[in-house]
Amino acid sequence: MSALARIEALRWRYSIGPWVLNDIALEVQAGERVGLVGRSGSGKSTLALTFNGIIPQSYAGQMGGRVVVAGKNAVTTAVSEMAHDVAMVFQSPDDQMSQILVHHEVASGPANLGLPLSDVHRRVADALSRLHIEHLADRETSTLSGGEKQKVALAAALAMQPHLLVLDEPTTDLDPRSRAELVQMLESLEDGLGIVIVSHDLDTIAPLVDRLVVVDDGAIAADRSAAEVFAQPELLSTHGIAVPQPVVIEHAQRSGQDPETLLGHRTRGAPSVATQVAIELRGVTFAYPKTSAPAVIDVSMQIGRGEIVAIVGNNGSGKTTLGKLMLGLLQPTSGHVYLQGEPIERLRPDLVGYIFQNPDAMLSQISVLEEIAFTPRLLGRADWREQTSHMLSRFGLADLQARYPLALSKGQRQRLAYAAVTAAGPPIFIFDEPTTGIDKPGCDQIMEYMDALRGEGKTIVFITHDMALAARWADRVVIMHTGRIGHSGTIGSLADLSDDELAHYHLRLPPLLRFARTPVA
Amino acid sequence: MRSLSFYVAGHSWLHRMHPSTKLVLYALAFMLTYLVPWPLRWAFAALTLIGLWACGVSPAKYRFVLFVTAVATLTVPLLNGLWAVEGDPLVLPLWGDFGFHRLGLETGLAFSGLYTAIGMLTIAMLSTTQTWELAEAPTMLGIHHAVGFALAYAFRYMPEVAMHYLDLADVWRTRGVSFSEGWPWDRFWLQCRLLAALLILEFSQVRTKSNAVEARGFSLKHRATYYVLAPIPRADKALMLSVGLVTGVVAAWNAANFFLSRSA
Repeated sequence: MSALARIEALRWRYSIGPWVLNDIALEVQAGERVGLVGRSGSGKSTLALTFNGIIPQSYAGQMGGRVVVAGKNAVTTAVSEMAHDVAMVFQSPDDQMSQILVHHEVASGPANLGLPLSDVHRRVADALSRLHIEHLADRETSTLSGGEKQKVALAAALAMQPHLLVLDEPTTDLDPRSRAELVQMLESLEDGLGIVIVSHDLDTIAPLVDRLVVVDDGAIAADRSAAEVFAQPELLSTHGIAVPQPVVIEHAQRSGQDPETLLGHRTRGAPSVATQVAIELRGVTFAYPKTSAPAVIDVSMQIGRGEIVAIVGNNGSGKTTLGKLMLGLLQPTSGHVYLQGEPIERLRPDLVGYIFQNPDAMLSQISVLEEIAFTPRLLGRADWREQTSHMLSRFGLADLQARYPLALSKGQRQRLAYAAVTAAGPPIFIFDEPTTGIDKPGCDQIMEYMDALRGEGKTIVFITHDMALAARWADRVVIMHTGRIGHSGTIGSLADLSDDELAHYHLRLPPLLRFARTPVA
Repeated sequence: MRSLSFYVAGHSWLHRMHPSTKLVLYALAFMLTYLVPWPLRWAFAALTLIGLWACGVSPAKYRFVLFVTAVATLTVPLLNGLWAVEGDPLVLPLWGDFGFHRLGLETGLAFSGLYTAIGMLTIAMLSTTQTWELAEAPTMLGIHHAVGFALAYAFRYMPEVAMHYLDLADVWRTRGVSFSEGWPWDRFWLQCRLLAALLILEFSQVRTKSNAVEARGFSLKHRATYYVLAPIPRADKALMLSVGLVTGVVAAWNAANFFLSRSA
């Protein structure tokens, strides 16, 4: 049987830098579902872009080897011509919508193929109904949620009626509910369509794939059936991939490991909340202008000094608004926010450091040095020079101090953003979705940094929809739901929530936490 | 996320008119307004306002634009009327020889009539046409589909870029930047830097956006299937032709008058 896609001796390097793909050989059969997994920067997304010729045609670089999909040479056939056979869905739902209305978005691909109008309409109707999103047809794409956008992007890809569907980190930017819905949709796709899914999140894609290709350092480290890979979890951890939780549990059960240790929770002495309050909210309600329902409703809570608190919830639950209220970026419609006992009426970078999801948005200066010195200088700190120099060495940026911030690598830019906020020396830090789209080693690095700050007596609030992350690192979890606090308590208290309660909050308890808290018979 | 639209929902004949027809009529009306004598410009503006109201678009829906236009409409003739040129009679003396002059007032009224009429026509076009119709209108007139695509793309992303701008401003504020304090020049410079950062941020996403579009076969065919709008009806074509002829006649009349006056 001839393969649907065949890659032979593939090598690729961008015009600047080393080879990012080295001697890749890979086959995908019709109807097969292949997971391309690996840590950030391993080359898996670059490899995915070769299936329809985006690499080498849209990027400057050097290539060797062959990529043949559905009998067409993807290296020399125009990307738009390859669209007959290969459809792609990208990571960011925001970056792949080109039309104003949803049904126009889905129709744009078939229309580009020059199909008769009746065929275009039929394909649009088919794609929308396969994914059960007919109700979105007349909506404007800019008004959709991230999950809805990703479903529309998938419908637009399916409307092309491709032989091969390539999904590049399709669930990374989605909340757990949208992620589960998208995975369910992908599971329901019929046989015959070859699917390649790029991801570093095996927990999400494990139910979807027959085969796993582990990519590391531009080469294929393993290419086996999913069952074989899961039988050797160390293979995944060696290459910086988080082992799916059900696999971890299965191995722990087999080896008789203590369930509690699996969670890896950092146990600490609980700070005295009653005597040392860092953040206090009293009856805080906030409504955005021209909206009917408030985003945050009557929230009262206290966060003690030196605590790490996770605020979890789905998109639209009010968790980011709550973070902005704590920061002073938004002023409550009613109620009060106190930081270190003082009512907060304006932004106080000396009191609270806020780390945004996209660190690039935080970089505005012309050099690394200027970036770090920026806030201490604005605050009129006499010791800004010493502080800047300390941060440069603490975050390993001393050799890069003259470089332009946006010209640094992704990891360096992230470290710089953290250094810049830490330089102001605030006692409270708020992290907004700090680990979204980041692989396991990167994620661990960020969380270790938070832990180190906590070790220095800082108070940490992190906003996330990753329950596993919250369970591992937080002292306390606050679940936000429709603007209110749905649940607040220690990690242990999460296991007491019933399935109905969790479903009500649109959350799922991580299998590992559920297992770790299961009483031993 | 808000959408970028000035559209006022309705089912009037103007709402139902083919967007390509509306676009052509708008362009022709634009030219006619320029060519006709100034009192007719005001008549155009008034007729458009009444017609629009009859189509269910109340002036209250565009009251801000109307207010700004009214201020400009009153200010321009008055200021122009104060500007005396030789031989221009004084019609309303304020203090000695200082006051309003007839020719100056007329010229001002001609200019403000032109802007008011064009403004009203633009409101009529935008308030009765959906953004996606507007984007695709040129395609149905035979212009390459890339133009319609680019317009749709711009309409699609403008609200998002505006949101990014606000987010970026928030990020800077959290780092101690104040956009409301300091000298005007400093604040202006701060806004320029913010815009530069926004541009860099948007450009960093261009590659993904372009890949996504290319992966859907964009530019594969010179003439993609027209799926957004129906073909232009015959009656609309006849209407466009008639208005085009009237505009042509008025333009020819103006040209003849211009050359005759020069030769005289």
